[in-house]
Amino acid sequence: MNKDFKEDNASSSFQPGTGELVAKIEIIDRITGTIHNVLKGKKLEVIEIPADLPDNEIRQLVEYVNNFVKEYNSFSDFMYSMARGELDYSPPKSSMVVAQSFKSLQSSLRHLAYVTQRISSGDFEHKVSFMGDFSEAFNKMAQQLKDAFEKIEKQNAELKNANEIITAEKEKSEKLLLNVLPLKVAVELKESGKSEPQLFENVSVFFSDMVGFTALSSNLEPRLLISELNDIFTRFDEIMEKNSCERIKTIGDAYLSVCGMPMKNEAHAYNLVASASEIVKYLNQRNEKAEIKWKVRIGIHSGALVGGIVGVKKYIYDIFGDTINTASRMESCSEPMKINVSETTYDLVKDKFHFVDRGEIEVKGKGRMRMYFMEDGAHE
Amino acid sequence: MFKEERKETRFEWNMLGDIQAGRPNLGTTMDVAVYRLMQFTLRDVLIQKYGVKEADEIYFMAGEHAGKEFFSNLIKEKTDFNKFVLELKEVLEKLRIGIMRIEKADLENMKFTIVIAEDLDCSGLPVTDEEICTYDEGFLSGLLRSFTGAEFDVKEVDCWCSGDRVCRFSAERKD
Repeated sequence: MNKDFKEDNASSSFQPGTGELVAKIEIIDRITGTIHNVLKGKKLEVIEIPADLPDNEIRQLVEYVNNFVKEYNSFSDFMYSMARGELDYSPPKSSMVVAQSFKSLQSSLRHLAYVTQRISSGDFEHKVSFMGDFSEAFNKMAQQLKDAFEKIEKQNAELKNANEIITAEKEKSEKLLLNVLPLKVAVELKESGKSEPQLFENVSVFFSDMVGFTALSSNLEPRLLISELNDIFTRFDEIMEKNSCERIKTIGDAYLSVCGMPMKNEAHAYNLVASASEIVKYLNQRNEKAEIKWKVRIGIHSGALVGGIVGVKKYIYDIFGDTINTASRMESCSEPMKINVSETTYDLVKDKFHFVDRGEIEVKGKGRMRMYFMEDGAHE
Repeated sequence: MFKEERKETRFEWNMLGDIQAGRPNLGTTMDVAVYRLMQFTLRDVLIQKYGVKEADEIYFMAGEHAGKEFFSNLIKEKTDFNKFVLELKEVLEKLRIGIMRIEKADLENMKFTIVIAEDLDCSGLPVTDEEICTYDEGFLSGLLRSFTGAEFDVKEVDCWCSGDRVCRFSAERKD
């Protein structure tokens, strides 16, 4: 700086004749400092314009620098918020290309956020377009997500279908299990995987046999024979179930059922005799219309027995004990369409039904036993 | 049909004619500059005759009318907003009107920020610190009104002419 300028009080002055414009070093330093701070990443401050600065090119330069400082600071704040992912930040008004570019970037990011939200809601049709390499990458990702989602949905549908099949099959197998096992035993087996044999003290046992079955069956088509038995035993089952009795098994034309097990039932004898009575009635009614007239002998005895599952692969719930043998003897000592009960059973239900005392009859392997015919199967 | 006096609209989509049949050699498209030539000469005359405010109102009304007709004739999705946006975006791009992007969508309060990049009306115009896409404001208003049945305030907040690189519109359902 020359000596003349230093002595001049004005912040800048025009040198007539030379066309030169001189400025105080302080002004130049402030402008230099501003540019220095831009390069060093420091916050910029507006340059205070001295009151004595004439309205010339130096003043204009300072004003431009100050405008730049304001836009730069606003832009810096905007950029800083963008870097933190704050997409809601209102961008500053600026015509600078750099500011406009970042504003475009913010717009693209906002749009991407919107599209991402849509895709995350399962709306995979949304795409981004005209965003250069990013469009391709993003849309590829969206397509892969869509494919994966559809694959999972397909697998879910298949799984659901398989589950429905499994559930249906399970229901079928449970139903099958119930066909061969009493409900309580089936539930026990299902829940614990085993069922222990159990002694039941008070049970009544029903035995029936078709009269003349061997002779009749030899003249019948096997299919017809099975159809007849199926029809009759299905009705037997319904009667037994209705009276809380349990069919144990059929052996050819023989039908074995119980009452009082596995669920205890104080009225076991009554229920079983009532069932027997209904069975006789049913057959009588059936025989009125049916071509083949079936007749049964029925025997009932009450006492203790053991019930349990026999077999590992083929479950059979069976009953054991002398009570069953005696019931079988009652049946063999019965007559067509008659219900023959032992004295034990009689004592349990004698007040409920009419009986005819048959006296003592010789029973194979048991000696003489008193028996009773239920009278016409009629209730009291 | 075209030159009858009227107090209410008589516009019908078929007034646009069968362009393919009518222009077998030149086709259905033309230079954007020609479209703008009509836009800005018309604006120029309207301002001369009625002033800026009136001219803007006319442009807005025409845009709104166009938006409703556009919705009725070119948009299939009438119920699902997100699908509507998706279809609108595709149609605007297919017809080379602009690249629509949604920046914000508040469906609960019906507030949206919609950006149109490479806008037919203004992209590339001289920067004059003005938002000049009044026709687009009306167009978006007509589309939104047709879809929702509600009236919308649509305002252009950034424009190529105001120094931005895209046109940005805020849209909000009127209470």
